Amino acid sequence: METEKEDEEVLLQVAVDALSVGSVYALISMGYNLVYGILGQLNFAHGDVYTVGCFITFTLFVSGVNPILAIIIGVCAGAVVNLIVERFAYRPLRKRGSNRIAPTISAVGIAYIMRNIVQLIWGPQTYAFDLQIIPSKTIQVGNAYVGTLQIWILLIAVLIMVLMTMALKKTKWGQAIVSISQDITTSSLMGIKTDRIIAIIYGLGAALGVIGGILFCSYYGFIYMGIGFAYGTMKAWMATIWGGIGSLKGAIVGALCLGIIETFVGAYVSTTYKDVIVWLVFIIFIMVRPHGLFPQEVAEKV
Amino acid sequence: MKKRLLSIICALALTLSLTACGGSGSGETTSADSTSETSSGDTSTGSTDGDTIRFAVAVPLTGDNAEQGMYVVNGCQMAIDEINAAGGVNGKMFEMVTYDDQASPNQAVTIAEKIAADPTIEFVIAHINSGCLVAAQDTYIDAGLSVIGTVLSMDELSDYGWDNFLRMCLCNGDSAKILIDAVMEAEDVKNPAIFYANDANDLSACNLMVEYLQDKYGFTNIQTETFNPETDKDYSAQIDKFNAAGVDCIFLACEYSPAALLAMQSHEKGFSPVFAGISNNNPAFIELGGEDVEGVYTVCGFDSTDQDADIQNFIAKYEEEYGTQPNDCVSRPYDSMYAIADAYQNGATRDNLAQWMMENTNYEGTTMDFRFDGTCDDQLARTYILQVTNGEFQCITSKSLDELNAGS
Repeated sequence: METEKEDEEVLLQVAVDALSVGSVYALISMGYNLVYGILGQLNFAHGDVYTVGCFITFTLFVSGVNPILAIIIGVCAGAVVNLIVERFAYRPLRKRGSNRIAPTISAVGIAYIMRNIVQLIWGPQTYAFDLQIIPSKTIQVGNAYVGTLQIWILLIAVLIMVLMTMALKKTKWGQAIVSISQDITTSSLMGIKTDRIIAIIYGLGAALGVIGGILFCSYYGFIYMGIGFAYGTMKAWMATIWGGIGSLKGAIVGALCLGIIETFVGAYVSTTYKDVIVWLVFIIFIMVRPHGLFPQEVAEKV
Repeated sequence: MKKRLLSIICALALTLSLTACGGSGSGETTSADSTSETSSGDTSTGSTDGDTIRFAVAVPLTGDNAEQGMYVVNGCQMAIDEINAAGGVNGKMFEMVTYDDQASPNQAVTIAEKIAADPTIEFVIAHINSGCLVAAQDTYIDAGLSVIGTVLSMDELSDYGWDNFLRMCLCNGDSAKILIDAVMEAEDVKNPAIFYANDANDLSACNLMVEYLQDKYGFTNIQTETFNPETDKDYSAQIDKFNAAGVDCIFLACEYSPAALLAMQSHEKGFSPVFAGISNNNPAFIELGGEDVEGVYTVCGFDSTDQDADIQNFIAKYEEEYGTQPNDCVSRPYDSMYAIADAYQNGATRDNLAQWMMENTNYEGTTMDFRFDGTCDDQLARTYILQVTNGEFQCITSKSLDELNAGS
């Protein structure tokens, strides 16, 4: 009887952990999903671009700048970096009518370049990261521990999803984005300045990424040059496929699914073979639902 | 036209910035003093006359392991700056050429071939990842190059029987034994567990720790949990399992960053076992973990708290030049270079350096001593057990390989 109770307590803690991990992935995934869903480009530079924004925020904060101001500047910097990358690495390929593979390869190159630039400026060290905005307290619920930061992260992810969805539906530029997601050429013929709108998409994607990255770093308490690819781009990509390409709601649900599966497999099956099992589940899932849980929301609803 | 020109300039700037980062295997940096000179491709500007002893340092300079690689380079650089300033070895100056193995066995083989093709290279300070060394060794052996491993700690390297290879540090298994003995003596441990990174080196260390805990202390069913060092930063599942199993001490076979995170995340869940790691002596460990790493045990190749003037001068000089405190990834290459200089001074040559040192070296360095007794392992390499106390590492005991073997 006592063993059963202990098992239930462990299960509750694992469930809380799974939602916490998923909510961190969710924020990072939304920016990725925005670009991937609308432009159909596998943006492998997403994580490394937001790493730049996070490091700029970190540097400003440790230099004494107000943390809110540091975050705003970091978010803007991430957006500007992505605008530059879009202008010189992606747009020329788009103008030449390349297929979707070419910009993807270009993005991989940009990811490596970004990572090396980050190493050149900030070095390969791991730094402690605490902007001291949200107090990192732990609440005990029964025998389970829930961090206040985890709750904030989930709330911020949902808030951003709601704001972005409203903006896409209610604003002129939001409608232009939706139009571009359906057909760039037709959108251009309708008078939409496609280059400008696509640049906005990249800028927004990076800005969301930096916000996600800052919360990721705050949650785990560290920052280093490798936070972008392994923890950002790959997880965001999996969450996007899981939730449905082009769906912000899907980004959150997909990220939560990924977090739940990773954590439960680690807790109840094996930490050694966790990645193998998660990928196996992922492959089976996309065979059953190749378009994810919430497919093509932006493209088809308008 | 202007836009195209601007695009080309930006592309060139980005490419150059990539090259400037230390680059990949095709780039190499030649340096005879602290003012490094960068060359590209095979057009290294190193002189090939008889006034220099050129050697290669093959470590990761980019990627996740770049931090450790840079420590090795810094340690070598600091030593050769001093040796060259004092007149070199028999009038010859050391000249270092760095290669980026990216912690990848494939890349390690590629750069080993480049090093082997350069007849002016006399020896190699090679790799921080044992897998890279194993992959590249055939090439080094064929080229007749001695390979000096300054931070290679996988136990199995001692069993290969290579006569061109020397290990200037204790292997993981020996360090782990000394650590376990110290922890078992200081703490009342009833249910130990192991947390390790899922790579060859740390898996090997984990197995050795389990074996030692079973054989010497009689523990059975020791829980082991792992993580992917490249993709995992959340250890909730592992912590929940340790907690549910009533674990009261976790031995860590991983770098300092995951070790600090494990301690932080454990405390957030109200779980506070004893932590003891074999690779956590980096000063950044305390900066990262803060109060959560208070009381953590770890091992180090030198005692930074030793008030010996030479050791304190070494620390002060390193801090002045590089802005951080040195750990044993710096101190071992630093003293290794002095031991190599001593060997050259006393008759070693390119053709017999490793063999000569195995049989003849008996050198007292600043932070460590060297004697090999005909083996590839430094018998005088000492492991210091440190504990984080009031935000600083404090040395609580130490033991050399000699003493460990005498006690077993």
